[in-house]
Amino acid sequence: MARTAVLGRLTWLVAAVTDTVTETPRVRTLILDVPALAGHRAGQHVDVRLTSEDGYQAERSYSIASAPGQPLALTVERLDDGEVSPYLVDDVVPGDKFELRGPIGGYFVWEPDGATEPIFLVAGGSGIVPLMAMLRQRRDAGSTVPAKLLYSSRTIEDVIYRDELQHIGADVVQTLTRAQPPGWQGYARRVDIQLLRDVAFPPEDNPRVFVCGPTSFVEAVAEGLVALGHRPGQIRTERFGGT
Amino acid sequence: MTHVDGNAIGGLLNDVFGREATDASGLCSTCGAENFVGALLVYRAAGVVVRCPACGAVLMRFVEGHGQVWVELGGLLGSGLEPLREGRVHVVDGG
Repeated sequence: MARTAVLGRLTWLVAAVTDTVTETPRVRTLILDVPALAGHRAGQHVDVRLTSEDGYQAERSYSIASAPGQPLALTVERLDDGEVSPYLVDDVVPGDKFELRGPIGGYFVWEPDGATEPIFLVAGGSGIVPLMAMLRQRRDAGSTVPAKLLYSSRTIEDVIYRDELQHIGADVVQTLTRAQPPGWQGYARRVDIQLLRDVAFPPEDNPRVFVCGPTSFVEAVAEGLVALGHRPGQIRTERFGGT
Repeated sequence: MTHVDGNAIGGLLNDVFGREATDASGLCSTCGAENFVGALLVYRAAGVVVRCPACGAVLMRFVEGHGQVWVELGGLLGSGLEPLREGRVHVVDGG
């Protein structure tokens, strides 16, 4: 007997890969066709489920990289001991299909409509992905809300969306923590309170802050911003877990 | 063991509550702190344990297996979240 659909209830859908983009040696973007997927908000994620021939299932969450209204794009970093990401980063080719459900999340989201407060986005590594959805939506919507991105990567080769960030229409400040190319103009250390003081909008501007990355990175940034006088209620975090 | 936050279990919460739950807010029954579910601390092991970011008290626990999920919500007050009344969602009392 068919079950009555419940508002807000998610179901597993079939996603077909239409294109892939290699972002870095460890990171790839998958463009997906998911006809039944509801529209998403910038900052949301989906759950991806892979099923092996013997029926074993593995499920992981991936942030949506695309702006609302654009074809669904997931940017995935390969974790070498992972069950799902090596397949998505190394093996998937256009035409392949897998299951996903979403969009998920109502807390770590930003929408340009009616937004007036500046947004300060802080990314560690692949934590850039949901923040990129916000920056892309802001650009596409012609939003005039001031936006600043502080993006920490290990090396220049690890910077995701390196070219697009140069014309995303926001103030982009980068730090490279492990190695810097000759002539590097950005920061060259881990994000600390002094760096946050230099880069963040002042607390008096009451910026909305979104921080995404490894758990230790997110906690250091959030604690630093609170110490600088930012209101905890303006800071939203998404922790990815271990590095 | 490192933790993530409530955002990360949005799919599981949707399974249990049948709706987007990360933007619901609730009170910690131990310390009274009010937080969005998306901002709670999530520890994954054999099951999922959700803790208060202010005091560390356990607010929710979930155990999944064989298409079933067992739910214990005793530490979270006033969230307005009600588990689905379905055969595969089992609400248990805290122990």
